[in-house]
Amino acid sequence: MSSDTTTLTGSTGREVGVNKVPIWRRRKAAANYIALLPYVFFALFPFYIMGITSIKTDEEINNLGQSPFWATGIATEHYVYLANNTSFFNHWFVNTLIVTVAVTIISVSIGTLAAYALARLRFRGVEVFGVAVFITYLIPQTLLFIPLIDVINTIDEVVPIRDTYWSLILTYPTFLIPFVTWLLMGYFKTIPVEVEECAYLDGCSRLGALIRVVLPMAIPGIMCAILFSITLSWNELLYSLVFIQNETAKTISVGVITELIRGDIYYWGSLMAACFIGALPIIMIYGFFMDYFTSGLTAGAIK
Amino acid sequence: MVSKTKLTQKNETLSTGAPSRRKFLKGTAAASGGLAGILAAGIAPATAQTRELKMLTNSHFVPASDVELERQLAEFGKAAGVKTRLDRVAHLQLPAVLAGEVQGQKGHDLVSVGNSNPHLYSKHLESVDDLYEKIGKAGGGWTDGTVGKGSDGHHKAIPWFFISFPLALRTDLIASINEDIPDTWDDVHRVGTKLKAKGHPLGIQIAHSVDSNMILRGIMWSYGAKLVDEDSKTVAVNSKESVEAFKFIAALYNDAMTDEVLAWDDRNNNVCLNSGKCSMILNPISAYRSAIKAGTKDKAGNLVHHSIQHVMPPTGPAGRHMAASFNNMGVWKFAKEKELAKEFMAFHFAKDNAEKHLTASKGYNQPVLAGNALHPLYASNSKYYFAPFIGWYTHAIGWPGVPTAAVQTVVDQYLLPDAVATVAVGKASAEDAVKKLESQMKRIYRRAAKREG
Repeated sequence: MSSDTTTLTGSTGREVGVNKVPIWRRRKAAANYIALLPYVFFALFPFYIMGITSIKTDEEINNLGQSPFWATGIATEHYVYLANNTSFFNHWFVNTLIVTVAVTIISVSIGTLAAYALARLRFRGVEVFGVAVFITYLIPQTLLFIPLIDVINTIDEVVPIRDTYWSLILTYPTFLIPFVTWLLMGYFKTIPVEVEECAYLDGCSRLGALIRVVLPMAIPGIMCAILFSITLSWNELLYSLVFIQNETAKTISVGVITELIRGDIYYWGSLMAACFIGALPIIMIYGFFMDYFTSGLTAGAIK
Repeated sequence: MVSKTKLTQKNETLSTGAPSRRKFLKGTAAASGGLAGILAAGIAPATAQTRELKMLTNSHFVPASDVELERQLAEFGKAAGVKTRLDRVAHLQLPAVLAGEVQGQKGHDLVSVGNSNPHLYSKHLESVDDLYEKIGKAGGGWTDGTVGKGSDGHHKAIPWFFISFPLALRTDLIASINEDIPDTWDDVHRVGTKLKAKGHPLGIQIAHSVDSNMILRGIMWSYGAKLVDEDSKTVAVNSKESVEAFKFIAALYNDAMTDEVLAWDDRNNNVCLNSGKCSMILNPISAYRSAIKAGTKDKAGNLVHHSIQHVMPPTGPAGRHMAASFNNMGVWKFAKEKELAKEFMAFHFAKDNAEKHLTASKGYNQPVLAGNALHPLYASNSKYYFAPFIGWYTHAIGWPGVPTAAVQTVVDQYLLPDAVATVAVGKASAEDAVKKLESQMKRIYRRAAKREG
């Protein structure tokens, strides 16, 4: 007997199963799930194609007479190629991971403090500063990388950070901190100031109130900021391309296209294998923290 | 004896007591950041390092070509007592990296600068006229004198190699309709129409791709049209020859191709030929090499690369012409090792090394030195028989002028493929499309003229 039914004893002594969930609700749920199917298909199709292409042989990939949507067998050659002929696992993946973790910690830490200050503190120019942060976020990376090259080169004269992931750890926060600040400003404004005031009455300092009261309440927003930071740093291409050309210092996004796109010859199977593996951490993180992500994004949307 | 300055500094410190918080934070950040950076990077400061020759190029079609180049760099470095490094990026990303290096006036010493880049970066590249003369003389002369020139008329880069666009065809499919190898564009139209009816269309990109820019220019030139005059400054696309060329391409598209060519990138035509769907494409030897690498077989189980043949690009009313992608090697003016870089170029272009690099490229790198045109590699495989002769009909973008920065802009904005596409799909007449292209090009050339003063 299913868990959503209970057993009652009727007047005749027979056990009668009574559904807790009415049939109309079941139908509604079924309809909802069916309606969701096209969206799920749309969202998962790229991953499916990546996965399925990565396990095909080159011969099968290039055979236009065969359906691209399934494989006739499982070939591991493209994953083996990635491992043996590229720096994917021993350098690019590790570099990307280091950069992502470091940049996320830096950006979320600074962005959280900045957002709290802009949302709560009252000082001259606070509004202008808030708008300035937002405008900074709007400047496209394709423009921002030009002055940043000068910055990196100047620092490189003293400390050789060019061609190392330190150049990315230093530059990614330039677009992530404004974004995190902007995102969390809205979130902090949804937390009632009275709760904070209660903490002051109980003897907390401002920092104590922030750490003990505000931040725990802002967890969904902070998680959302963390997720965005991870995604943006993991996928970033332009800065990584311009600041790093050294083979072993590259990140996944640049390393993969350098090694696996050679003129008009695409190593399609290995490309898909690299993209599939590269996408897995992001998929897993979103899978675990989707609820935080949704609530963090929608907070502040309504009052 | 204590100097007066030191005394003054000491007095300042004494008078202000402890350093201010701002000073303290600045000092601590500088000290800890610098030291931590050095320790974390694991590299000594730039000033403490040995000399290093750094080269930047795009990832070659054939990995062995990069390996050979790296070997030559290492050999040269060993002899010169310097460290060497070869960095690569994907070919479509190379312009962004070059632009970044020019902006920061810092980067590699030697760079691969394709097509019009020697003209575009004329102010930032060393003049290499002497080396150009020397290498040309030793190599039997250059096959194209326009390549590698800067805006000041000096050679800003040494022409390295070109990637040509022969007609690559499936001999099995053409034989199946009792036709011979097409020699003219009319032949291509006739044979392509017949083969399309049998499910084997012609595949020429009319899209945003390098191939499209090159091939469509070739067809234009074969019909007597030119995009720009010999002076490289006057836009000359609005002519009856251009209109005829546009009409021919539209007919070719409608009779012999399918609409997928409007969305193709540089790779799709290779796949189309190797899969047995396409009967003919214009392309470097990539389709053939890919078929070998993948062991592609046709429906009967035969290896496809046996059925692929390369022949000269078709001839038109004004002769046989085709564009090619030219690669050059240049030295930045801001390079740290300018002389060393030039010495490496002399080393690399010496006959023995040039031949080794050509061989490693498995026929992709076609020499711009006349003395290497008849390299034995091209006689070793019937699929390469076209190679020594295609240079006669091959021009750099910008022909009959030199490849300029303005031409590169026209290429990068895919103005020609877009103009041809509007005619092919019936959205504009050939006359209107040519006029629109002319006005777009004139705007670009006006701006370029202003920039160059």
